[in-house]
Amino acid sequence: MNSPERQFNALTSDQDKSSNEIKKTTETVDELRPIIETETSISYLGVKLEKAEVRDSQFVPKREQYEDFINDKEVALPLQRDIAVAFLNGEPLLIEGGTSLGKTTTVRKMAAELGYEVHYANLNGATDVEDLMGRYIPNPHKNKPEDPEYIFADGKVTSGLRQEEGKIKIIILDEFNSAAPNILIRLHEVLDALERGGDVILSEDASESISVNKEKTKIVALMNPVGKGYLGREPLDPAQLRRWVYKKMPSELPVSTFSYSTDALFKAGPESQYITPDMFLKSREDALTLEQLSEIPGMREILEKYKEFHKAAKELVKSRKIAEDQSQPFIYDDRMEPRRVRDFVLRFYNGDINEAFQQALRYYYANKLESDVDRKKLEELIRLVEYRPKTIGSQRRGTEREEKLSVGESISKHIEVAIEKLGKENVFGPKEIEKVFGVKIEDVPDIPFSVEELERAKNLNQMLILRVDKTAEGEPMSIKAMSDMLDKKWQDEGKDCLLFEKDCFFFEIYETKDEIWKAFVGKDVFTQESPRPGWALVSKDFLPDSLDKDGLGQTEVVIKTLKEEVFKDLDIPEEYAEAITEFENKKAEIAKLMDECRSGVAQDSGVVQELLQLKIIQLTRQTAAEWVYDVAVYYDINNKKLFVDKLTWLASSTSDGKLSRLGWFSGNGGGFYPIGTCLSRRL
Amino acid sequence: MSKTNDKTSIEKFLSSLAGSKEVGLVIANNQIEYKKFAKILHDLGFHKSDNVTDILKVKKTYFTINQNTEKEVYDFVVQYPTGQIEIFDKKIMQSHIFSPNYKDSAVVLLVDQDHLNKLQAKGFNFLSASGPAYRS
Repeated sequence: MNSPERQFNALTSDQDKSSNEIKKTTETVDELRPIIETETSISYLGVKLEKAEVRDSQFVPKREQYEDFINDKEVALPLQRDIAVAFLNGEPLLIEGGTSLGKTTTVRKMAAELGYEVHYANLNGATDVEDLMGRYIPNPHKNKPEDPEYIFADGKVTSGLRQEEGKIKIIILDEFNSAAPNILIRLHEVLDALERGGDVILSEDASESISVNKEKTKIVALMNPVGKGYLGREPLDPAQLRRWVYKKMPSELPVSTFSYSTDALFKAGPESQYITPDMFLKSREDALTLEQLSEIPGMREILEKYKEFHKAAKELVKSRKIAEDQSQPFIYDDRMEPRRVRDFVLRFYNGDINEAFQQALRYYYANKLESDVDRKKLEELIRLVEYRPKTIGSQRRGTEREEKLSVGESISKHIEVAIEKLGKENVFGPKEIEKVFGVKIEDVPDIPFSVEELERAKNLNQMLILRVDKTAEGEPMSIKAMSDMLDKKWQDEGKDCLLFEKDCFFFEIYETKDEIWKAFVGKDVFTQESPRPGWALVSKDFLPDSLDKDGLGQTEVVIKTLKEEVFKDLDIPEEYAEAITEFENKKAEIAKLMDECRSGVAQDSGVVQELLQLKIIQLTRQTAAEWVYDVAVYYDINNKKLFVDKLTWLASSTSDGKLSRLGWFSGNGGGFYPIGTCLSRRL
Repeated sequence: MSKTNDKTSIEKFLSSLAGSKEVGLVIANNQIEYKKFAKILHDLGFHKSDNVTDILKVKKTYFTINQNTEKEVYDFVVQYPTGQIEIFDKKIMQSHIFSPNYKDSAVVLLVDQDHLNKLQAKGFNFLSASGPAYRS
């Protein structure tokens, strides 16, 4: 199976599912816990960081210092999540916010939990480059004449950059916007080296080079807003800011956070807040490769949307339509943001490309904005960055998309997968449809079924067929149109005609073939009804248990098949669940109506209309036009007939209000034929 | 930053600092008041210190600050609430790292208004970095 969706989702095997059921309750509880710690890792709102192997160091903060740390949901938890994302992606993070938010404390608290060293430098006043990068000092260990007079001693930054086995280090650059320009320039050289994964050349130490690794060294810069009571701060040059993942926090604690935190301090409120699932990010165990990324369905489309978004977001900032009140100017960088978004998707793609992209844009774009109004403006644009599979007739949304074989450009690849699962004789895509009806399909819809569904379809003796509703001339693909077209075509090819042969019993009753059709499906259906376009999985025979049952009994068999075979151990799609519920609710009423028909109190047509209006019937039965279309295609391509001596109930009614049934493909039509129900599934 | 305006309550203010996770700030209006406050601090058992690591040795400590105060005091005040303090000694290029023990501890900065203004102007925002403050 080549579908990246399937490959990446790593769907749980059936064997594993029973054990998963047992775990489910615990997992559900765990999923709502904002911080989950194991022996080797900690997840902050789903973003998992590995603990350092070596945690015994004076630079690692002590955990007991943070026992009363309050994990409020508005500031503390999202901040930890966003710091975790930066750590995971190896990105330098610049956080701007008021002093009361506890930025430094939060970083140190996380370091204490993870066993990371903290190398702290406050850049406010009187700090020089050598304090950070190191300098020569008199050798304090000089005992012998041959010992050097001076030795090079690391500064705060260089000590954080040096790699030591098993250690992970965080360099905190506090009050970053108070730093002297020469310090900023030097620090940005360090950032560039980290980004390249190369060496930092220490001009302070005869050009010694230090090999740096962003997996081992994390850099967090913190700063208070310019103005707003904070003196001595200058706005950073937006061009310098581009090196950082910039997170703008409020200048003061939000009122609700202040209230909750204060209550928590006094043990006067709840110990925890309700954490909503949308606050979580879920990091992958292993980042995707670029090759895997390129295979994600919808990537090309969503990239185009992202480009449009980036351009629009830049314009909003440039024209000061957002971030107008923010004293620190910034830009959305043409090179850095796309790279960050890509790296984020590599780390956080979990089967839904829309979700991965939109979360990335919230992280790298919306996080730079302070006001809720600005964030909402950008959020409107973010929501437009969405890939919509071209799925005809489907109302399914959200995570269900990830299980589908839905991809525009690689549809042929997915048809190959379907052929692999169902066999070539059971898959009828655009090529086959063109061969049968001469219709060239320009815009082939995506196959809305997962690989697992196809595998199950094979066991249910189903075929996959692409239906179109127009002929090559643009007329409705009615039974009449198909009959006229195929009878002539097949005659030329030496095949039988569509359903009613000349020696058919029905010609004893009706003058023409058209009249036979009209008798069985009604005039309107015969000339006007077209198949509902899109892909369908269609039974090649009726369901064995559906024989000799009334409309309700047949439907119950269909529902049982859906529950016990088609969707076994899977979530039933919403529209199917709704349809089943509707059926359960109306079953008694229809049964009563049926009884009244049997006793002559009510007309059959009333019952038929009730049945045909049921969503479950519309979702799982072929209409008359669809049935004709399906068996015709199968015969044309495989030269084999279906339903030669049997009939199936349909989702159409005859002119006199009876339920349509068809079959007798080249059969005589006389005598007794079994009638059952097929399962024809669309989405 | 909270402010206590009861002029007679400096003793109460100082006693309330025990266990605080922030450094307290006592602001004198002039040098006469400054000396008066220093005496009260001393009488209440606060140990005057020039070295931030002294907070590990005694429970009640105060530092006097002025426009020439070393940056390390500011770094100390900023980091005090964060659970870990790293003070870098430029002479030997080494960090001293320690964790404050907040329980029953109290740390106070004593400054006069004039020097506080000068420090603030230099960018050392002691008013924001410190916690509870007392002004006569």
